[in-house]
Amino acid sequence: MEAAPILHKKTMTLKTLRFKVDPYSADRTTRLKISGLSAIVAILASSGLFLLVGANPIQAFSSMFTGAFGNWEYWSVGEFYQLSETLVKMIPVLLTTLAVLTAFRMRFWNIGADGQFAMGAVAATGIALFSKSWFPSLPDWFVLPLMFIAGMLAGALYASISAFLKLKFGVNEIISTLMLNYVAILLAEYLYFGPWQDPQGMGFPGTAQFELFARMPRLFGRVHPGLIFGLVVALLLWIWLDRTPQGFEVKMTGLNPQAARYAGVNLVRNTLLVMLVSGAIAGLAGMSEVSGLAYRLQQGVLAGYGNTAIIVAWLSRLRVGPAVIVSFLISALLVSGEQVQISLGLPAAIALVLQGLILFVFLIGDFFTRFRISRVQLTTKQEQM
Amino acid sequence: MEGNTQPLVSMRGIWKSFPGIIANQDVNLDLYAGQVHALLGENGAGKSTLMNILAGLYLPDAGEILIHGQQTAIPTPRRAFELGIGMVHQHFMLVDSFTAVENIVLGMNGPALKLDLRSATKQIQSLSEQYNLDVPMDIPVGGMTVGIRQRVEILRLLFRQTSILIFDEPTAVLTPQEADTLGRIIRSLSAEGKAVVYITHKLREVLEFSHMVTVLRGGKIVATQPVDQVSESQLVEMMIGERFISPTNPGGSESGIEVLRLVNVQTMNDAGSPALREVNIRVQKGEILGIAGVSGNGQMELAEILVGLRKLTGGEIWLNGKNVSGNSARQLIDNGVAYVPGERMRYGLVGPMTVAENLVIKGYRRKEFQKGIFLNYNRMAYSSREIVREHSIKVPDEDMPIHLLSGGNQQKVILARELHEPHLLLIVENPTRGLDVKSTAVIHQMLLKEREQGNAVLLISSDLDELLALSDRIAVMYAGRIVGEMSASGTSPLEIGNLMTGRGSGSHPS
Repeated sequence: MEAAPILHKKTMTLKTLRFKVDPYSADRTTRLKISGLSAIVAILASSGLFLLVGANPIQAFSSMFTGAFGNWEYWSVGEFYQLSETLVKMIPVLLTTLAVLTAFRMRFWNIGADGQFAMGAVAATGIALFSKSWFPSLPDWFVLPLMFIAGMLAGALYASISAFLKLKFGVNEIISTLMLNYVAILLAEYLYFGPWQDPQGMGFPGTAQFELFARMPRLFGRVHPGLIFGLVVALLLWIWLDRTPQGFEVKMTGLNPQAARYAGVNLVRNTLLVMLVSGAIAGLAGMSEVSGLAYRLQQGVLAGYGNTAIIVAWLSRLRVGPAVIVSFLISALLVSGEQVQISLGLPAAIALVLQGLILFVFLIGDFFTRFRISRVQLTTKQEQM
Repeated sequence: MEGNTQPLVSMRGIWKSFPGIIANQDVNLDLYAGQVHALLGENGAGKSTLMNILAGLYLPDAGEILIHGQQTAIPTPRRAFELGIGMVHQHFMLVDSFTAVENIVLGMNGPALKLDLRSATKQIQSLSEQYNLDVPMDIPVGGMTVGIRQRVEILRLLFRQTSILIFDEPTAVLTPQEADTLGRIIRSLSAEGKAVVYITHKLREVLEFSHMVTVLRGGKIVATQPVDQVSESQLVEMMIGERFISPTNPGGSESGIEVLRLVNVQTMNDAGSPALREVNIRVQKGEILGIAGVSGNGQMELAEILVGLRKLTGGEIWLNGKNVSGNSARQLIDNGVAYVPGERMRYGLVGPMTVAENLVIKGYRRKEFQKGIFLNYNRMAYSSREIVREHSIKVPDEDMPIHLLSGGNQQKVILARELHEPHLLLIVENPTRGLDVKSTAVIHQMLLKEREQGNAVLLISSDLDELLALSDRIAVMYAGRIVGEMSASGTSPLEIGNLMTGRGSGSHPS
C-alpha cells in the first residue's frame, strides 16, 4: 500500500450486449399485460402527436371519445348518434375482416376483399335497378333477398377466379386478388359514370336511388341490418372454423399443406370452398353498403376497407371473437379521427397519422406476444500485466 | 500430437440452457490441430449445442472460449468463419433455390459488387475432384438428394479453408462405402493439421476415425480419453449410463398372408424423370420388409405413392387383396395405411399446432372425436393426454406448439399417432435418423411389436444396422429399381452395400 505500483494489473471488462429473439407463445395474462402496455404507449405517442400540432391532448382524447361513443350529455337525453355512427362504420369493416380472416386461416392471401366487395355492390345494384324491369311480375319483397344472394354470389365467383388460377396454374393469389381489385373497382366506376348513371343526377357520379323495396330498413340511427349479417356471419364462421372437422382441416392446411395432404385432406376442394366463402362475405359487405346505407352505387361506397380488414384480421390473430371486438374499436378510431378534424380544427391528415400510429403500436405489441426477446450479456475479461 | 501442447481451441466452463432444459453444464473441451476429436453422446446430450456455440450460432450463458490461447467471443457465424471454424450441420444450411456454387460462395467476404462465380466454380471443381465429392455445380440444390447436399456442405468448408471443421453426424445418410471414404477425407484433413470435431452416435466411427473421444451425457462431460485407451463397451456404458441390448428380429415368420403387393409400379419424380421403374415387392402379415438404398434412389417416391401423395404412372398397388392403385391419401388411410415420414416437419407435423392437435391430425375424422357436426375437443384433449402418457413423451404443456419440442419427442408424437390409427400396413422412413440410442431402441421395439401383432411393416432406411436388426427380408433399391432381395439372416452389409452402389451382387451389374 506504499508507493503506487507503476506496473499494476489492469482488468478490462468488455461487455457485449446482444439481443436474441426466440419464438414462444405468450399465456393469456402476458398477452393482457402486453395489450395494456400497448394501449398506454399508444396514448402517450398520440399525446405527443397532439402536442406537436399544438392541441391539448386531454381535450383531443375527450373529443375523440365523444366522436366515437358520445358522452353523458348526449346519453342522458337518449341520444346515441355517435355510437350508432361507429356501428355503421363497423359493418363493412367487420364483414371484410371476416372475409379475409377466413382465407387467411388457410394462408390463402386474399388481398382482394375490395374487389369482391365491389362486385357484391355492383351485383346488388344491378338487381335493385333492373330486376323489376326485367321481370315486371316480381313481387317487391323478393328483390332484397335476390340482392342478398346476388351480392354474395358475385363476391364468391369473383374470389374463385383467383382460387382457380392458383390451383390450376400456381398463380400467386396475392397478385391475382390485388389486380382483380382494380378491375372490379374500375368496372363499378364505369357503370356509375356511364350506363348506370342516374339520368336525373345532373352528372353526379352515381346510380339512381334505389326504390324503397330495394332498401334495407334502418334499425336505429343509420345502423342497418348489415350489422346483424356481420354478427351472424361471425357466429357461423366461429362454428365452422373453430368447431367442425372442416375448420380443423382448413387450419391444418394453412399451417402445413404438406402435412394436411398426407393426412388425407382434399386441398383443392378446401381451397375453393374457403375462397368462395371468403368472397361471399366480402360481397355481402358490398351488398349491405348499397342497400342499407347509400341506397345507390356511387363514388365513396367503395371506400377500400380491404386494407383495414387485413390489419384487423392480424390484430385479432385470425380469431373470430377478437375480430368482432377489434372491428368495433378500429371503427371507433376511424369515426373519432374524423371528429378530431371537425372539433379541433386539425388537418385531416392528423387523423390518418393517428390511426397509423395506434395500429403500429399494437402490431409491435403483438410481436412481443409471439417472440421473446432477451438480453444476452457476454463478458470477456482481458487481463494485462 | 506430441509437442503440440497448446490447444487450437479451448472451451472452458460452458453453460447453455434453453427453456426447460440445460443443454450444457460446465463443459470443457480442448481441440488440437491435427487431431480428430469425436463427440459421442445420445441425442439431447448437448453435443450439437456445444458445437453450435463454437460455430457462433448460440451464445453461451457462461464460460469462455480460447482460440490460440486468446479469449475470444464468437457472437456470429461470420465471426466463427473468420476464426476458421466451420460446421457441416445435421440439418443442412443450404438455400434450396441456389446452385451448389452459389451456396458455397454465399456469405464469403469479397468485393461487394463483384461476384466471380467462374473462378469460384473452378476452385470448387478442383476441390470436389481432390476429395471425390462429386456434385453437380449449376443446378439448384433443392432438387438434390440428401447425400449430395451434404457434399455441398462439406465442399463449402473445404472452400473456405477452415482450420477447425465440425461434422455433425455426417454419415447418417451415407452408405458404408461412402462413410469409409468420408473417414479417409477426415483423416487426411487432420493430417494436414486441421482440427476436426466429429459428432456421432456410431461407435465404429469413433473407433475408426478419431484420435480423442469426449462422451457427453445429459449436458455434462462424462469423460475425455484417447480412443486407443477405451473399448467399445466402455464407450457405450459412458454414453447411456446403463447396459443396453439391441433388439433383434427373432425371424422365422412365414404367415403367407399378403398385405401389400406392388406390381410393376412406376412413377416420376418432381423433375419429371422416372423415379420408380417396374418395382415389384410383397409384404406379408407379421413381416418387416426392409428397403435399403442410398437416399435418392426412389425410396421417398416409393413411400409417397403408397400414401397417395404421388401419382402412379404405371403398375398396380394391391392392399389386402384390393386394388388401391390411384387411391387418394384419405382412401389409403381408410384402407389401413399408416406412415411415419422421413422429414418430420414437412409431412409429419403441423409446426404451430399444439401437441394435442398434432396427435389427431389424421384421427379427427373418426366418429369418436365428433359430436354431431362438431369436433369434440374435450375428447381429443383427453385422448392425446392418454397417448402422451402411454408413450412417455416429454411435453411441458400440451398446448405448446409442437415445433418447440425436441426432435426425439416430435418423432415419438408421430409414431404414437400412426400406431393409434387403425392400420394393417405401417410405412416408416428412416425412423431413427438423428435419434439417440435409447430412443432408437424404443422405436425398434415398437416396430417389432407391430410385426408381432400381425401388421405388415415396410421399413425404408439408410441405416444398414437397423435394417439387418429388424427386417425379415431386405430389398435393395438402386436407381428406381429393386436390384436385389434377400432374407436378412442370409446376407451381409457388404453384399447390401454393393447392391446399393449399383455394383450388383457379383455377376451382372444390370
